[in-house]
Amino acid sequence: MMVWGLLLFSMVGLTVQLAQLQLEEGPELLAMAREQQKIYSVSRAARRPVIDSQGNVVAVDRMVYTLFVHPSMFNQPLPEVASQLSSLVEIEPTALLEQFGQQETGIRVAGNLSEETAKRIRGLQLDGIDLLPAQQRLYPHQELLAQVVGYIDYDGTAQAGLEYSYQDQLLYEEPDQTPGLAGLPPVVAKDDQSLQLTIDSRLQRVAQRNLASTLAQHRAKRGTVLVMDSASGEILAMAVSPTYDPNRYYDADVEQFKNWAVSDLYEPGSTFKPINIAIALEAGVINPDDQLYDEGRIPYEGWTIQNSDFSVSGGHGTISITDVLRYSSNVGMVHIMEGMDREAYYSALEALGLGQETGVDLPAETAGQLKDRSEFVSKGIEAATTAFGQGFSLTPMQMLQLQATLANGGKLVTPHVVRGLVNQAGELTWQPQRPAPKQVFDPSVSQQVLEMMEAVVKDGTGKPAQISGYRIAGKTGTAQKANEFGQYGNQRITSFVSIVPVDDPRYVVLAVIDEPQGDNAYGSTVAAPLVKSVIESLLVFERVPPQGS
Amino acid sequence: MVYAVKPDPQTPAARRSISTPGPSARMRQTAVPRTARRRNSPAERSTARPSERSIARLHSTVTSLPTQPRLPLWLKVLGGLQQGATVGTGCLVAAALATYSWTVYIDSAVTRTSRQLDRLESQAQQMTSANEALKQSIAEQAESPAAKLQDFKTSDTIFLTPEPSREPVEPSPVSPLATVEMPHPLGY
Repeated sequence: MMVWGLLLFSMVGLTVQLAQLQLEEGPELLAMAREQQKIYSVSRAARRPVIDSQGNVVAVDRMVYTLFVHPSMFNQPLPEVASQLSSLVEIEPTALLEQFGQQETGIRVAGNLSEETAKRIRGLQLDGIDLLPAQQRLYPHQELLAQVVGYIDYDGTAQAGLEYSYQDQLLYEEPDQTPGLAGLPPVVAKDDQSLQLTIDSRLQRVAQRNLASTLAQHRAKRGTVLVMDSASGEILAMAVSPTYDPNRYYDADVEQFKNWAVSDLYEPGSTFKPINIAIALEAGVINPDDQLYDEGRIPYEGWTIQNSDFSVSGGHGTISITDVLRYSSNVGMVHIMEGMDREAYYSALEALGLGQETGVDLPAETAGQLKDRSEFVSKGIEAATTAFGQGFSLTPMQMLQLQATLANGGKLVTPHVVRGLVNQAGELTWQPQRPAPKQVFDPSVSQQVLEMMEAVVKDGTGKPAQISGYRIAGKTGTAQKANEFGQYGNQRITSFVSIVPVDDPRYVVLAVIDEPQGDNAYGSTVAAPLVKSVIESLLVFERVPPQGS
Repeated sequence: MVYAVKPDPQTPAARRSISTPGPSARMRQTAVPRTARRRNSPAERSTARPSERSIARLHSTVTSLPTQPRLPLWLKVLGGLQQGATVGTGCLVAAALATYSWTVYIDSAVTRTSRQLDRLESQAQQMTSANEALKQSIAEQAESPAAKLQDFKTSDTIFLTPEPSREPVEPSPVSPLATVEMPHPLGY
């Protein structure tokens, strides 16, 4: 009876306890259990890699570790731990000992430790050591593509470049935060897709290196070299200086983060003359065989317009339209555009997209600036200065887009640096939607202008860009820069644009060098040799054989 | 109803039937004490004679043996239920054990596989990083003036026009007799 009573009592007691645990404390305990089961882990990759047109990885996620130590939990003497860790974290043992003395727990010793280093530290089997994993974006090619790709900051936020403008495509989908099977952390739904660029990092490297040496040689402030496939609008190279190492973005100046090829405006100068000639030809104001008189210097509505070589060679006399480009005659251009109704001229400029953005897939693009229609139409000087590429401004990227119309038969294509998302087999799985190319010039007009530009390289100001065996079209540009008071000062911005090969025009190369120093700083002396060096490599990479071979 | 015939204890057949196990037989056997059998031995036969008649009478009567009472239906059903429940319990215990071991196995298998996945991902990341770092390092070395390397130049490049692709040629089957036999081994 006693035993029965004891058993019964125990059973009642257990039942009451069970009911209390289940009903009263149940939810609380469940939450505690879930908390314990949850494994806080950092996913190995949050973003898809970025690859260039050749499949080279230019941005990829990796794991890095931060080492924390808790000296109160060490199972070995402090000097022993310090000496073991010293070589792995590359800190002197004495400095480590000093750190260990600061507090008892939670001392941050080193960050950005590689997976391999973390593995070795774990291999030491020390107590009181914590390795906290974190994701980091690695840019193996350092500053090579920084202005295009951008960077991810310490918090994992995209801050510039494609990382910013394509973050929706780059980010893997967020995982569900509830614990998965067997209490394992949720797995990010990764796929094998990468964001592929149109840029060829081999050509980019050539362009970036030659740009840097040109800037150094002429002590210039900044510069850019852009290469475009005019058929599609694909940018094959985009060298921008100044640049920075996105792996060490925190060491860079704010100014260095700016991709000025898309964010800053400049007055194009003479490189815009071929576009004006195309506008005039398209409007039927001139014929390719027309002749005009170049006085060398003319008064215009109270201003004086003169050629850059007036002090040396005076007026050129009666010259052809081709000669206007060959000698880069400002006066000749003014005479050509005088024949065009200013209203129609302004409309043509607008139709080319001046004053608007190009739609390039890079962030922080600035729209070009064009005077008001009323001001342009009412003041003849506005149209006259626009005729030789001054008085309005655009980005180097827009200049490239406009020159591409001469190479692709008159189509205004949208410049872009991203091909799309590709899988492991290189097949496109997603492609950005871009507006269809707009026909702005007749193909015959662009061909005529192209042949005039060929004369510039053959025996005009563009001679330094000649490459034996190839027909190359080009145009130099040397524009005075407006200073902070809105007046033209002594500083220049030199440029050269080239279209190759003339037989089958396809590639457009533009170099813009801002504020080169020295008396001999012109488009022909600074930018043209740079463009030539890039074209040499471009023709090899794109397998364009010389003519007659 | 079971009937039993009282056997003659003197005959060997009767002895065999007496020795037959069974509750009713044993009960009957107790009715004839062992001493009685012993008395039937030849030495004592004379003293046993007066009881022979009663034995003969016993021979002729058929008595019904008390047997187990017939089970009621509800008890039978309960019995069946018990047997079924025993088998069911056995199956359930087996299933529970199998399920438990399966969950333990799945747990460890998922943990093991996810560790392997993690390791492989880590290796893939390290390989990619190392590969690109190597490319960068080679490019830096090539760009250094000490390397004395030059950029590509069209004048230093040979451009070959690729031949138009030809139809694939089906290889004609070669008979084993057509292979040339070497007169002596080569390479010695």
